[in-house]
Amino acid sequence: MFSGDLQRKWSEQDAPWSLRPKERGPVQAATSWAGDRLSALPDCIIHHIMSFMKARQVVQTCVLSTRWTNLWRSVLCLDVDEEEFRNQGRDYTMDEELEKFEDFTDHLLIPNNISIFSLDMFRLHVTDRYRSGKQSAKWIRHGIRNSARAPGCPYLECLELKGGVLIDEMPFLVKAQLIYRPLDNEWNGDIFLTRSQAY
Amino acid sequence: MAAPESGDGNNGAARMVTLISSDNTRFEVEAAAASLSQTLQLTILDGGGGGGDGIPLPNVDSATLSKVLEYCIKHAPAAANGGAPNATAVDRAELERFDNEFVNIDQSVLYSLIMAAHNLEIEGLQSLVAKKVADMIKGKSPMEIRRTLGFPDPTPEEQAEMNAHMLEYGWAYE
Repeated sequence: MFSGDLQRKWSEQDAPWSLRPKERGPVQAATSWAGDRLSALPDCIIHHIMSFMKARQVVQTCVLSTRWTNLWRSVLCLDVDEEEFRNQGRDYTMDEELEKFEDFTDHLLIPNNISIFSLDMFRLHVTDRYRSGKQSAKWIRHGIRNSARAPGCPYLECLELKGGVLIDEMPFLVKAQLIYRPLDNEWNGDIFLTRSQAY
Repeated sequence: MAAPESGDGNNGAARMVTLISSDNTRFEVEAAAASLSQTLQLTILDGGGGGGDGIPLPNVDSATLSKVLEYCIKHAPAAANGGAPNATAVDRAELERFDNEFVNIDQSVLYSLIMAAHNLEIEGLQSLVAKKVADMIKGKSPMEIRRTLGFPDPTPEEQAEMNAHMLEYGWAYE
């Protein structure tokens, strides 16, 4: 079973993710950037800031300046949220919004961009209006396959699918957690299921 | 860390330590408050920082350090209780109010704080400030972010590069 510690992490909505121990220790600001103190912060601090943002907004920082072009690719925490695609202030239909969400996530999770298995934390949040559980499962399966080809990659501690479905045939599923066991040095694909109170 | 309930071995007097900022200002604080810093905690456990010695902090100036300590002093009692369990809703609300006020500050102070919090490894403060910066970015267009966060105006080349990037990463925009 997974440790209570992991569960606690997920329940701390205000501080979802803390830094990995190896990221700790004295940090020096990068060489100063004219007038812009944020860009002068070390990568690990900017990544920590990004861990409080949703994936789409994180990717959008790539245009801020050359300093930011690739920062988003090396995040350790990723929070992909379908709700980030709602009510964009334009007259998109629900189908169009969901299409954009799917297109975004397809692009985001290709190995050249972000491999979910280089992450410490990955959250994929879909609401019940997003019925394509198969698509969610595909993103995760691809991630698992990619990780098998990357021995020694950092491990993903916890994966959560909330409010949605992982597999179409299991509509009662509200939460799935894939746990990596660092001691075995491999993904055994344990999936922990939590049933909705309603079922 | 041994956090005594009330009245410790020193006849009830809280142990004090002295911290010395980069500009040589001395701050005397309770060890329990300073121990919110993972970096300082070990030194303090080893008995350092007491008496005339003091712990030098060459990376933190006095303005930033006094702000950091304001946070530590406020949060030390809750930390000594092991966080939430014993805290009443009122206590928690009060801490939350304090936190919100605390980061309602000038950006330059914010960035000094974030560096100090990382170097001193004060987890709560690291997250508090990081979240504040994230909130300043959230929901804004790249140009709005640049303006809010004091980026210099883009040169024509930079503007062209931004536009090219926006096209390349169209999947993350519209």
